Amino acid sequence: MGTTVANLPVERKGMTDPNYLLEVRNLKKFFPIQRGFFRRTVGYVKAVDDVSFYLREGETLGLVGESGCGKTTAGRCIIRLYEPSAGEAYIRSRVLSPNGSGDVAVNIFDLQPDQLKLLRREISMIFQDPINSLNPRMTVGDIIAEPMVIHGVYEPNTGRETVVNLLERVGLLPDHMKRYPHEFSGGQRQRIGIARALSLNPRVVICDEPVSALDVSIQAQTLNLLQDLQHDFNLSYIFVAHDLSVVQHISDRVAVMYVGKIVEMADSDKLYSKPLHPYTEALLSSVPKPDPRSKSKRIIMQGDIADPSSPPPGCYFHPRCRYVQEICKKESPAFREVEPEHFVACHFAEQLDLKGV
Amino acid sequence: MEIEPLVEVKDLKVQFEVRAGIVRAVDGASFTIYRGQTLGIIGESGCGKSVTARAILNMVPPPGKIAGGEVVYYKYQQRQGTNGGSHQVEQIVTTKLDPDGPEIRKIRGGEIGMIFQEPMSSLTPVYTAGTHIGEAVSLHRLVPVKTIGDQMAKNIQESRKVTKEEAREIAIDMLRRVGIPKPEQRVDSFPHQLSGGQRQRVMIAVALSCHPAMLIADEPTTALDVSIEAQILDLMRELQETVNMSIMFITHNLGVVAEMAEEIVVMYLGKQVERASTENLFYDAKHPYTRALLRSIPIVGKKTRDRLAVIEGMVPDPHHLPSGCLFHPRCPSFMPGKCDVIEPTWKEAGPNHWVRCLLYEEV
Amino acid sequence: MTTKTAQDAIPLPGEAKKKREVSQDYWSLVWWRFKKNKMAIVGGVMVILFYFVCGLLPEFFAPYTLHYQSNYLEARPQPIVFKNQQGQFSLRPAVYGLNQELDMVLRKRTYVVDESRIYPLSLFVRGQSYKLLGLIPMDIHLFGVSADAGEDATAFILGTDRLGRDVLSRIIYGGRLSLLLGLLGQILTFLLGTTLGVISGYYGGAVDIVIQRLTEFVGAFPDIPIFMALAAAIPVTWDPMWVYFMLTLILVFIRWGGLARQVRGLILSLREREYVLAARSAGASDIRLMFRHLLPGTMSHVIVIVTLMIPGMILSETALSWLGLGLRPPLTSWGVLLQEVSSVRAIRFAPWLLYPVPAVILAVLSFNMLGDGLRDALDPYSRR
Repeated sequence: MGTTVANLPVERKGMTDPNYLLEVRNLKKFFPIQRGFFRRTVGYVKAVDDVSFYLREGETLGLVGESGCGKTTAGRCIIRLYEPSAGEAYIRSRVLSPNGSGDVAVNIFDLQPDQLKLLRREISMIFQDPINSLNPRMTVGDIIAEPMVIHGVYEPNTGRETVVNLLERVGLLPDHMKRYPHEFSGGQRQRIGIARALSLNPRVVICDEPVSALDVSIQAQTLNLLQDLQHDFNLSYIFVAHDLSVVQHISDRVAVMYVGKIVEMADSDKLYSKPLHPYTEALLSSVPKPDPRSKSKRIIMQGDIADPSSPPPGCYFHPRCRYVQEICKKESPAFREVEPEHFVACHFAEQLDLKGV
Repeated sequence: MEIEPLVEVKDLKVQFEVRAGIVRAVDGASFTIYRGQTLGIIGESGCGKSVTARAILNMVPPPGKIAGGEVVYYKYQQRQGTNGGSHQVEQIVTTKLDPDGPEIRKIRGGEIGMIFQEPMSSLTPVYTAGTHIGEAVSLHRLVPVKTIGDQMAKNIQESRKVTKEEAREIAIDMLRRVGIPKPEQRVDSFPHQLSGGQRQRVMIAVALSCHPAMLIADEPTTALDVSIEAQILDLMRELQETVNMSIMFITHNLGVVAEMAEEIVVMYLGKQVERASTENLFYDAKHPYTRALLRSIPIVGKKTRDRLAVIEGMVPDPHHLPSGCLFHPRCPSFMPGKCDVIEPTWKEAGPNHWVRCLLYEEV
Repeated sequence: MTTKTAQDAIPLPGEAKKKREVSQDYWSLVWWRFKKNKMAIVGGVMVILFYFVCGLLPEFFAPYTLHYQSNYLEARPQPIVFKNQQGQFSLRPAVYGLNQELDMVLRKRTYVVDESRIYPLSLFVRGQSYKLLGLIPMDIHLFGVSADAGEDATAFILGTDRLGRDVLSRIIYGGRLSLLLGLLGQILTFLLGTTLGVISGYYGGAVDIVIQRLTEFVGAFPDIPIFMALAAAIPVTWDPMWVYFMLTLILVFIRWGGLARQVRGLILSLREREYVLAARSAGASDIRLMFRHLLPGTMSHVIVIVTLMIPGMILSETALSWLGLGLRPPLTSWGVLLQEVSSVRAIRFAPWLLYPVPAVILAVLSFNMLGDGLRDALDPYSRR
């Protein structure tokens, strides 16, 4: 299935670890703020500000955070829907490897347009909004088949079969191929979006808040479906969401983002039971628990979420942090591995004793 | 705290007439909110919880109309010269008042306040019947072109006899109480200059500035970030304690309602299916829908990576409602021959724990 | 929260049959909504009639040919009465005859109605010959007075002009050029405007700025002087059809900017929709995104805009031709017809020469009704 592609930006020492399927390093995405008649750039919204993470095959990495944290932007940068301002993103690609067999680590951000198009077979995306993520003028069959058509792999007979298979796999009927998106409920539309994302047999799927706009009971169905599909097709997910309970349920590892930076990243269970960053602790305690008997006192963070266009000096979280010290106001903490596979950006990560859920 | 009723909803029925027929958005809701109490109403989209709230204030937008039942508001007045002693009670049937008349408008805002989901959110739910909410019910909505102070002062002056300067002072004080920093400056800013959380606080301030006896909160924190939500919920509880205000809290978030409400009503497709104290609902849910709902949510702290228990099937089309019990096509405890034929009635299945399910009826 | 409309939930298998009738694609839904709007139907029918009668088969519908000059100069319209030749009531319409008279005050010949002579109208009469669609020689007209009624039998329902030409016939013929110019011009405007609008909106940046400035530059020209200049630049020696074509182009040149600007605005709002992002993330090319995803999303708006611009073109052509800046005889459009009423004398003594005006008004109204109906049908959120 591979192709010979010239001038591949293969990095010898690209990946830190041979087990990684995807690795993002120092990703930055700044949006310029333009004022005035001549559109001068007066500042930047630092939507993503030096973010690094990795993903193994078959894993789910949750990217969680509140509004303005940059999780959606980060997800879209990986697939180059937004062009990143800086950084690298390595992926082990089969389609881009010279003889099609082995994996080759390539830097997504350096790919030429034709190479990037090939790569789009390996990474696909599921979107949040069930209303707007499907073209209302296209039939469901056309929507699901479109990625295949774009890449020229849609044969009239086999292609149709593939679409039918995908529909059935996500729990819809073959008859639905001829219908239009507006005839379906939100949960079903998300399924159509999932079928579309799988039509080219990707390895990595970026799920951008796929259940946030769904009813509670439909969320459960959709999450189950995603888990089943991951198991059946050996998919790797980057799961972007703001709902902490959903993220914990589906993710193997979780990265917590705040105002463009990752403040903590660790194995899911560990992060939730024993966080090392004050923001994670406060966030976890803020989540309302569906348990009237739970007596845990909530940590209330004062003030509002910091503004990504003019973040506070030093650690971005310091104005709201219970444990703030002088150094926090001056120096931005480094994102470092404090325990095996547990990364934190806090000056006092080792000293603090924080509560989980 | 005395257990006195404040708002009593009696067999309320609200219908929408649309092209395809009649949609029974609310079909026989009955519950009582007591003074100082918080009642939670939970359900998914299309269950009728928002319509119920609007019906209480006789604000159902066309083509909806109140088709049966009534809502009684018990108006308490402090006798002159006493401080918290005996009260006079006047009963007003809100559903019978003229929807545009002066009496109901005095109640709206003055006696019963209402706050909505953040108006700038894109997640505003749409009625099952396709009707748009909101634009017709611009109660205390923040208008983009006037300053916060002006809007609050206007509302305050509508319900209390104060001068413009006094109203402004009250507004500043309310902003301070809801936690807006530098309220003297903020009072002159426009809504779009505030963040979502601040806007919601301002809405609460507006609603509370007239000292209502009850606050109806329709998904007030759904569009807010978790950390801001925590602040708002705390604020609401604190204010409730200081002024002994009742709250009717409408949401689909089971975590939020577990924290805020003392009693909960569960709705499904316009019908009440269960009502109980919060603890009883979560620990001893009786209706299969409630049980399934509770099982289907992932819970922070519960380390399961297994599949979530789902409610099979989909919410039916409101024009093709199932026969008998509305939930029967999706019910794990479905009894053929019974549940699809007989409509269950509202029965007390435990101490102050009511259910609408044939499992608890001797049939 | 999900959006729940009445048609949202797919029913359980048993109920699938009942729902068949509501499974429709977007355009069927549009058509269904359109049908419910009486005004829109009326407008649509009238537009179709206009194009059929004036655009396609004017020779058949007009009682006389375009350039036929009778002996009855500036004759009054012959009123239609329901009498037979004996003067009694009859269901069949007829016209009074015309007599020549000398008007001593004005010192000219006038033609007045003579109620003593009654000529019944017939359908499908043989009249002057013509070539249907330019190809088929025929001589049957929809209505008129039959030739056996005599030499003096005339049916100038709306009178004649100073060369004795039937006003009604000329209005029908004139409609062809006016309406077709509107349509053709609008098609060209549509092609030019949407293409540039899409490119401008999609690419943004320098391309957008250039195209935007271009539309503003063009739009800033005052209409009439530009038209005068360009029309004057057309050599008089040119074949009239070329003149017609050039004038169409000139009108398009003035108008396309507005459409491009609107399309650009629509594209800007659609560009960040998630289904567009989804197609991009699947690797869709720019062309595909623009013409398969973005442009169809604008079609509902564009159709309305274009339909409502047609009357503007018709009016422009009428006004400009009337001013003498547009078409000239022997080309005949409604504007050209109105050239003959440029003086007070004409209005005072032969006001029937103004009949092209109601024709224009009717055409414009029809397009407006159609356009409004389309807009309501295409807008899913209008309150009904």
